[in-house]
Amino acid sequence: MASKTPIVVVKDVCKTFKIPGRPPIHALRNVTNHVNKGEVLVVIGPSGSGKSTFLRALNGLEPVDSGSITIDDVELTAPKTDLNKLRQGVGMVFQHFNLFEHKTALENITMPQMVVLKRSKDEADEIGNKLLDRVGIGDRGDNYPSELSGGQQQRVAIARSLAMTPKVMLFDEATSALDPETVGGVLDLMKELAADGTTMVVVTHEMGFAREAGDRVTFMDEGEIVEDGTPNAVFDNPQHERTKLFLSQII
Amino acid sequence: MDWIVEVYNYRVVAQFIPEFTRGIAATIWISLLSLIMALIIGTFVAIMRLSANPVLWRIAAGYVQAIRSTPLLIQIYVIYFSIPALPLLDRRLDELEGGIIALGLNAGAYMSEIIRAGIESVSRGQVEGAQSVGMTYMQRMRYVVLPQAFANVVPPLLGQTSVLIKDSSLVSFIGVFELFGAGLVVLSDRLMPNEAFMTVAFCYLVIYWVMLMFSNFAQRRLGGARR
Amino acid sequence: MNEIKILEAVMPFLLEGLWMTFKISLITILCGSVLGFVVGILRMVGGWAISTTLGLYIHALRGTPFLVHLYIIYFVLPTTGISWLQLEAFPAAVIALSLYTSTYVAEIVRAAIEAVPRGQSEAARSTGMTYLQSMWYIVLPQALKLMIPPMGGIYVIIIKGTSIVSVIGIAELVRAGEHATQRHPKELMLIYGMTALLYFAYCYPVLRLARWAETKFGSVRLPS
Repeated sequence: MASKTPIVVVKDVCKTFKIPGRPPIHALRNVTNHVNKGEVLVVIGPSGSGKSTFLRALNGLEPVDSGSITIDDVELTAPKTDLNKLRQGVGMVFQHFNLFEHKTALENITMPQMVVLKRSKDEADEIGNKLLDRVGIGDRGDNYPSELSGGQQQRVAIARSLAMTPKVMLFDEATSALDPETVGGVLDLMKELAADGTTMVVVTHEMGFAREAGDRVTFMDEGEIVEDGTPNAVFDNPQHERTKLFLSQII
Repeated sequence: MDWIVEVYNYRVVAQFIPEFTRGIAATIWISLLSLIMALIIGTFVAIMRLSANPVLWRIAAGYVQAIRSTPLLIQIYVIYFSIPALPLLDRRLDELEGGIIALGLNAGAYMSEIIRAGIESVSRGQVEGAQSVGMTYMQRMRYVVLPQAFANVVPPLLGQTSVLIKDSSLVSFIGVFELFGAGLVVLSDRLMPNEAFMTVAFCYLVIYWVMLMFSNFAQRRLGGARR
Repeated sequence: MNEIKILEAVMPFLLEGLWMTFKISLITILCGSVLGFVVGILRMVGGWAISTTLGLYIHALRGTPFLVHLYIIYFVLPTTGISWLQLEAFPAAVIALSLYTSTYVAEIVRAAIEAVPRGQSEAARSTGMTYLQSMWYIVLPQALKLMIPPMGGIYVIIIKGTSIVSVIGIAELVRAGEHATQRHPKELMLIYGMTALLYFAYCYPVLRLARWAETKFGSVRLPS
């Protein structure tokens, strides 16, 4: 499925969090990685390993200290880059959904289209309804986020991202905050997107998903990429002690 | 029915209906003008306090602390008696102007705290959600942050407006005629404190009740979709 | 130079006024808190009739300006002819302020009790405690902590409220300031400015203390 054309290129990225009165935290240490068009990259690692920071750096939500990130030939880290414009092409799905609380499910999908892409209301509505059907909650368009289950909210959030026709989709522990019974449905939806050839970067604790849907798995620990390879290679034949330790703890 | 007249002579009160009507109208008018002033001041001060510029931030914080740490009555006196000293005006402020400015400055400080809390209550996630679909700063403010802050802010602002209406009774100290002043007229004309102040209390209660209904209505309308 | 002389002349009177303000506010916070605490608790644990009556009490006081309470207690109550309602200015002021304060305290008591997680009283009940026992031993001790910071805010409301009792002739800070301006009518701004500064010196530390307590104990919102 995945081609050889890189769409996300990350080179030597460093990021340090400085909290007054505490030792600095090195969230990213010389991280270099890339994602090819149509590829599904799964990033795993213990909490605090920098995997979420890595993901959030990919759309500039987390500014980095040094190194470069390029999305579809636009250098995100260049000072002149219009981040807002770049983010139109990078979808993001958050752990806590971050749906707009004051808008209905449908409006959550249509409002950004109208505001950012200047689509007409009719066009946005049509796309919105189609996407709600696609993510399996076509009947909940008029409900507000507070009236939806976590799983349903996350489906709306995915639809909101898809409406912008992104070149790459980022998933930040998208199922970590869900009730167990709704996790499966959202993972299935993500697998469908992967199968459709969506370029995805997925930070997750769901090893089943990584194995099944991932084209490549990156293991991070203490801000570094420790190991990188096909799911089978990383899971069945890990080369590094830290990877082995992590996998033994999580499975 | 004579015993009622003994306790509360409604016939006398009826004679003063014009005074009470003018008093209510004045109280509403004074409160309305101060409210508009307070909302403008409150919004600016809230934005100043949220700004990263330490000078702006400190000016705003100092203003709020000064207002919160002194009684409204003293603020009214200082403004009413001090404005003539300002070079901008070549005439004295009249009582009404002084009273409204003092009330507006006072309520503005309290309202700025409400507005600031409203803006801060919109979670970081909401902003990130808006960022992730590529909205600009202005778009995020206009479509995501401010509408939600507004819903959070309207009920407490209405509560603060109720306080403002009650506080407006203090401008009677510098001789402004309003609802409480109407009571003072009855007291000085007829020496009937009962008729004077029970009526004033009743009128304030009616205004309070209307505000309460309005606030409940607003809360239902604005909060309907959320939690 | 002239200003300094005038300040020297009026300062003793202003400080005397501040002392009166201090006394009234201190007595009021004590009386008002006790009354408010009783009202707040009764409103929570009492039956329908009690809590409705107390609700009306709170609304009636909340719905009218303090100035009106003061006039009703000082001017209207004596017209009833009942001897113990013929109040002198000082007790009238303290009673009016205490009633006013009690509504704030009662609201805070309620908010604090409601802020204690339900699980606490449920756990207490599951050990066999009665409703009152769970209130007394489990909920109230936790609620008390939450009530400390907003009490600072209430204290400042009382201090500021004492300025209004100048109208019935209590020689507190505002009244002292008014007297001083009568002696030095050209220095209104100076004298009222100084008066404001004295209030600030009294209130500001209280507000800071309340802020500090809030970070330490957590808090419930002070009703407006």
